[in-house]
Amino acid sequence: MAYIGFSLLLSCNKDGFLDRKPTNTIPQSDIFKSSDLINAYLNDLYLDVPGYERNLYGNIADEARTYWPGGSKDVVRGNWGPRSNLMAYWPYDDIRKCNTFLMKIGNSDIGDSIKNEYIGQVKFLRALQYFKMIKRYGGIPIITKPQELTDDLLVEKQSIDSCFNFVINELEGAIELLPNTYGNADIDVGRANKWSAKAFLGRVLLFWASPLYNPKGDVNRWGEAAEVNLDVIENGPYSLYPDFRKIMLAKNNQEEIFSIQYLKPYREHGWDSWSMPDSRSRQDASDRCPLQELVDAFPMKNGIPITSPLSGYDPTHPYDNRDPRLQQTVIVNGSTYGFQGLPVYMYVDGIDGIGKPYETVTGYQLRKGTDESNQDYYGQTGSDQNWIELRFAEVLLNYAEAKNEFLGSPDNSIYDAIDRIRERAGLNPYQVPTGLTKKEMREEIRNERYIELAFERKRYWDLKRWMTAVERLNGNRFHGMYITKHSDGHYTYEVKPVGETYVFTDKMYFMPFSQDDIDKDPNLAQNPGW
Amino acid sequence: MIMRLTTLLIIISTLTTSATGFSQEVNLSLKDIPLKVAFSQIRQQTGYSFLWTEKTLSDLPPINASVHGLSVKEALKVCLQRLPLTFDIHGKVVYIKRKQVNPVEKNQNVQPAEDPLRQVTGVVIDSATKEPLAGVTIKVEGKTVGTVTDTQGKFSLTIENGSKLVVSYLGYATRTIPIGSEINLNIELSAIAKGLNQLIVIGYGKIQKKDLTASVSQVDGEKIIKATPSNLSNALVGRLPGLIAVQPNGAPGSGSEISIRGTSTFGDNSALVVIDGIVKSYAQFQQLNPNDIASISILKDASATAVYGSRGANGVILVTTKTGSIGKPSFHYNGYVGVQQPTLYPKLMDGLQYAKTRNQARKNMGLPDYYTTQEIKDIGDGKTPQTNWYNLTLNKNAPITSHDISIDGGTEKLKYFLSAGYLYQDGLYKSNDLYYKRYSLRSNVDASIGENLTISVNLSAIVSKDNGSSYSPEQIFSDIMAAYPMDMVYNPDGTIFYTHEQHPVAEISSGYNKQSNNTYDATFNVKENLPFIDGLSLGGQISFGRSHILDKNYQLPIFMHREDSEGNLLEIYPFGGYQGKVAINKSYNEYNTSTINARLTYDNIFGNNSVKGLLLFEQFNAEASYFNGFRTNFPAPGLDQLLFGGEAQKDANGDTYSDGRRSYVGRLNYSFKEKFLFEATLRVDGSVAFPKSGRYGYFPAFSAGWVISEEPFIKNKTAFNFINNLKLRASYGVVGNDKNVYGGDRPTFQFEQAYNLGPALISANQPVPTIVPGVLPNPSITWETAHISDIGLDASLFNNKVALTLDGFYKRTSNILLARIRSIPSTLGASLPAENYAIVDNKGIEVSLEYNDKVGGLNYFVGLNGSWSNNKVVRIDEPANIPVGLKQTGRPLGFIIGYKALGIFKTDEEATSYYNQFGIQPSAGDIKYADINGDEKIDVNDRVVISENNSTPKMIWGLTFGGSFKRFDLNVLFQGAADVNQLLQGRSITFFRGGSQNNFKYLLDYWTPQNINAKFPRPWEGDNPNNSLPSSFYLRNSSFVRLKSINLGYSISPKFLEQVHFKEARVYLSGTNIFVLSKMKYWDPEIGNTDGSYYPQQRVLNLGIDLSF
Repeated sequence: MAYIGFSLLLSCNKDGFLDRKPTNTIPQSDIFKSSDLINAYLNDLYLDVPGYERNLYGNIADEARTYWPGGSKDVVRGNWGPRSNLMAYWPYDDIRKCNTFLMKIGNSDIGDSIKNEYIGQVKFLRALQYFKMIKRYGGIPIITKPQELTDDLLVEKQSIDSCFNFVINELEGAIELLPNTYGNADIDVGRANKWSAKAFLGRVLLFWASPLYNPKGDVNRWGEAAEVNLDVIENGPYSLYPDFRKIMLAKNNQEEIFSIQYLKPYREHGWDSWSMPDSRSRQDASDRCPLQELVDAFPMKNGIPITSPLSGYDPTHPYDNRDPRLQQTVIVNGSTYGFQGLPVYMYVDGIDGIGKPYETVTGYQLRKGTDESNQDYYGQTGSDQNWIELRFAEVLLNYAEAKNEFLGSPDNSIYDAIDRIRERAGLNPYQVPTGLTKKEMREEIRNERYIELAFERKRYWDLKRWMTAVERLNGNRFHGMYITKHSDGHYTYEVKPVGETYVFTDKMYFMPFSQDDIDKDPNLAQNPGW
Repeated sequence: MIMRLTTLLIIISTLTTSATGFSQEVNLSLKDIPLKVAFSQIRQQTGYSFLWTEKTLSDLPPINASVHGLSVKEALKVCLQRLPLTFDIHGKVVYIKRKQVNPVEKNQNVQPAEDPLRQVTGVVIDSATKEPLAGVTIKVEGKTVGTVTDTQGKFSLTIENGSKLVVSYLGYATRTIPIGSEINLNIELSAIAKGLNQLIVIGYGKIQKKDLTASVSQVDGEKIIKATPSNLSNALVGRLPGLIAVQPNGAPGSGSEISIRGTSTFGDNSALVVIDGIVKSYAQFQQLNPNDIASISILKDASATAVYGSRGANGVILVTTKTGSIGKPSFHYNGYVGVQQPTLYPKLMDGLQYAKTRNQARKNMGLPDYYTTQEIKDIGDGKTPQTNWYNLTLNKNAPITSHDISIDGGTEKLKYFLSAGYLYQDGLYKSNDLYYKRYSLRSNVDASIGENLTISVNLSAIVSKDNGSSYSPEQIFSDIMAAYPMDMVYNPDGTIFYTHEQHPVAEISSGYNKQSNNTYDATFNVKENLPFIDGLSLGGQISFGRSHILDKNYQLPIFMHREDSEGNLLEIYPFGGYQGKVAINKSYNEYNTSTINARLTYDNIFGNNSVKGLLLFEQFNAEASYFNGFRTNFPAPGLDQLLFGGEAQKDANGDTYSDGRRSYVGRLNYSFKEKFLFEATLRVDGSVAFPKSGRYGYFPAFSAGWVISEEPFIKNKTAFNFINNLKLRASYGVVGNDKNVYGGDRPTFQFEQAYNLGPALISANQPVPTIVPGVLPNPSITWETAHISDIGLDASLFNNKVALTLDGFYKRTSNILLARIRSIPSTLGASLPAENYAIVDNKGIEVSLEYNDKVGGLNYFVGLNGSWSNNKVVRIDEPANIPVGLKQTGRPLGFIIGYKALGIFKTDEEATSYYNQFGIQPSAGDIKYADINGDEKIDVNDRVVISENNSTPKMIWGLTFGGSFKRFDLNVLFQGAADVNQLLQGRSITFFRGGSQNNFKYLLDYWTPQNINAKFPRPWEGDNPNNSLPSSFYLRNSSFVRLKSINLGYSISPKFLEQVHFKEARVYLSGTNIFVLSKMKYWDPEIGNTDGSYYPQQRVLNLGIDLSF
């Protein structure tokens, strides 16, 4: 019997018993042979572009503060550095994927035109990732080929200018290769085409011209930035969406240039959930509570800042007759919110009153971009608005700023760009008063950016690139509104400081490289001051 | 070599399969058998015919003979040796005749020396008890002639003059006795220490302890069952030197984490598990019914583990289940009922303590009070209701019960062991939703078919059920800690109170998570003694294992009713579940294995030379498959089947994988005069997980033993009389570890660049697929290799009352698979592959000392065992700029980095005069840290290694003692660990984690100006930037001594039992984890999660009964 068993055993002793293949992965050799898999590879590179984030960037400038401990509070306190930096962004894994793609795509036998289209997109995405780093760190290592383990991996950082030059060249190259359109707005907004690449280049050039990255004040950079942005304004397919409130809700509208796409239930975020007052929250609430400073930056409906005696501002009714964008951006006490159509009471001791656990810390909540009909919101999920990375209003503002800095005094095209935004906002009159000096126009443009682009992850970077962060932030405690409800139903308002005192020192203009990387790479010089 | 072996075996099998069924050799095992029957057996085996006359065989007694592999002629000599018969063989016919009385023989008193044959008789007795020994083998040295003593210890044998008799008996020292003119012999055999003849289970075989040259420890089932373990792994700690076990939690069904000889590699250090010869998972080991265990041995050195080649580097746990024994069927019942309770779990603050501490914390933070004086007063007066979440969620005790019944018996031809077991282990939840159940069946049958063929069939089925709410036990403990003492459980109208977050009382019965884990195993074992070469046998195993896990998770939100103070409903808040919704996730996981091996073994003695050999081929194949379904948007709660789910958000997923291994093993043992022992082994292992070019690995080992006590300078010296046995052994070998190229059971194929499917991208309002690159490939990936040297000493002393074993080992594990994440900059941008890069040295010692004796009616024993090991990283990639003080090289694995605390600043003067700490001037009540780098400030650069020990003890020991007196018996195990540290973190040291969560009561000893010698710093809401950092302040020495298990039994009088037809009955009280002594207060020193969110270890007290009938 044993012999029979043994003979059986020998007969099953075939070659190849140990030749197995993984069943849950695809070998690299298959990927660049199949156009479907190349596409899937490219799709993933889009997935790497950050979309929504919960409550960091909104709460680290002068836009909002949050109830939640840690995170943004550490940034405000200045309690961050090489060993812990929540704003760190170091997507060399994404860059490697782009580099691998660019190296391998050459040998694939898909047609040349589609190949160029793909290369254009990958160059755009790689430039975008690099730009997000340059914005933070200044000079960084530029790597354009996938490194092998046997290569010299101890890389050095490049100068700021050569980093910008690289990104600009890449974007220019992408613009050459990319099509004008994919013929479908739903695709165009989610993928890079010639115009989105150009609009993005406009942003990059604006940064390069800005004081932080342009210490010698080369004014031609402003000119270059203005030119590219103007090209997009004049020749691009974009226009302002008529309803400011619905820009984030009307998916893939004419104002969107490049967006991170969401669709329930495949890819969701919690934008609606994060804005909830506690009384109607589900597992999250009060993630960004707008500051009084932001509220005050919105002019009156007549376009005049509230600080002007001519504005008609009434401190006992602070939210009346304001720029319509104020209440489209901020939930104020007593305004209705959410699918139930109920008012939100944030006065002291109100049901969602200031200072209670999980409630507003400023007397306000965020309304911008929220879908008030949404009933699915829960924790980090339930919403599927697109994250608009770049929209036409920004191009107008980029242009206005660049042109104003380039010229000795503002020309009509600058007024025109700002007026277009104010007109859409519903100001009456919407025209910026004429005759502003370059400096006055600069302030006008900067305020317009503050309110128009609030909570779109622009403000922190703007304060840095203008090098106004120390002045605006350091040592300041920002403010909230304490509202008292009286027995007869009327409210009185008192502005009080809230949250931590901000610490922003000069060295923070450029973030430190992670200590881990400094420890590993002796060639990577740490940024000054860290 | 492998090729040649294969060819040889084919010839053998061809030869034998073409044979006509008759063998040239005879195998007989006769006891009181008439001679005619013996002849008929020989005829059946060989085809020889026998001829005799009735007269020839008349008046002859039945014979006893045991013959293996002899020729017909030799076999007949044995059979007829004491009889006045002789025989002639012509062709295939045997003629039996009466012996002629030889005239020369008649003159034997004249010339006795020339007398060729004579008969001796005798009796064999135990030298100590003087009782006769039955079944003793008596052989003539150098001959195949022999016999066996009868039940009176008597024997009779025909020998040649000048012969020597070799008298051997299992458990007794073999004696060689020269025979002079004696006719009647009185032979005394002395028992050797019980341990020495103990059969030790080793890889692919068994060996007597006295012949062992490897480092192996074994514990038998009897001791295991005395610990009444609910999980088998919990019974091993403290019993086997070299085994490190930590029991990190006490959830129903949970066990201990086991490693052998400490930590030798990064990544997975767990031992290989082999159950009845077949490699199984550790999970399966833990599921075994402890009542079924015959023995568990752990293989420690290379000599023992090299036969497991690429999987043996971290030691092997060998489990042998019980088999039947010859005799009438014996029924055995063992059952107990008991209670479990946490060994140690700290209390939480009550409402008043909470409120006062919170106000104090806010004062420290410069914030206004949270509670007004009036509110504090109301809480203190009991006007403000409070909730004790712990008491409302958890019972003080949880029941446990186990029942096991087995039948065991058999004949020489057929032996069987059948058992059925049941275990129910309840959890502490008040809802009774948390429990573990295990049902097990086993059937082990051994059959001898003919003289040479034995077949064993082991069948086992184990079904275990893990049940809980949809919140894990750990989560519930975490939520009990977090729950706010001033929250209600229910609203006045009985609906669930809105706590906003955790609600432990509702969580324990919200939804469910049911896991059914089913394991079926069938193993066929065949062994055939090959008749043509004495001592050669061919065998094999075929085993199928099937395990499938069905898991159903029913997530049900807790519908909290938020009401205002008048009881008006403001909202119904769905907390938890799947995004506030009902959802079901059901998964099915299947893992099927087949193992097949064939082996050729050889075992023979040539005079002083004993030779054993093993050649083995083994092939392993596994197929795994997984799928799951998910649905949500159920129309109503309570419809808990997938089919009720809504159409949106459905998900289905699945996966398969397979694994294969092919191995060749050779082993050779040689011993000379039982004094010099040698062993050599080699395993060649092939695995699917490695690239084709390097798929096979070679793992050799050598060992030798020297039985010093057999040397004349010990044996013949009266001064050394106390030495009964003394053996020195040493081994060296190379063993592999491939766990780190597997993800669980799944080979990872790290030699190829692979891409995985990523999450969907949305494009044009549709999900589109994405693929993401996996880990960078390592085309030359290979095994981790451990070079293990071991030197050991076994001794039996003082009439075998003392048994001592000492082992020292040195193990260098090189080629350790480790991704160079410490040194390669992240700008590479890839997930790094594991490379065969690192080297770790591990060395240690193990001691085991046992003492048995008898005083009057008291039989007692004491045993002490201990093991200590320490490792050191010899090679690892270090970051280029790492400070020397934080380097891993030269330090043990798993050291703890933190700040060196100098205590708490007692006064403001002390705090303000000290350095700035983390950018802030410290205050009184803060922890003071040492300025390590001397830069007059405390920051991240002042971190040091605060402990080279971690939560895996480097030293572990066990002390067992017990005995029996009259009808009482006692068995006690103390267990201890040393060189072990725990770093408390998170909740266990932080106030109001998250800002408002409750705190452990022991934190009340916090610093205030009135309590400057406090044990904890000043309170803070949540993490304090200075006081919540990992530091020596929170490092605890968690060495401990634990009364691990105790078993006190009373055997009921046999007289009484006879009346009720029971053979034996014993009632017992048993307990585990009775108490623990440790410097670590508040927590069990084996705490599984130093945050405190874990299910605590349980003390168990059982009342049980053992019945045989």
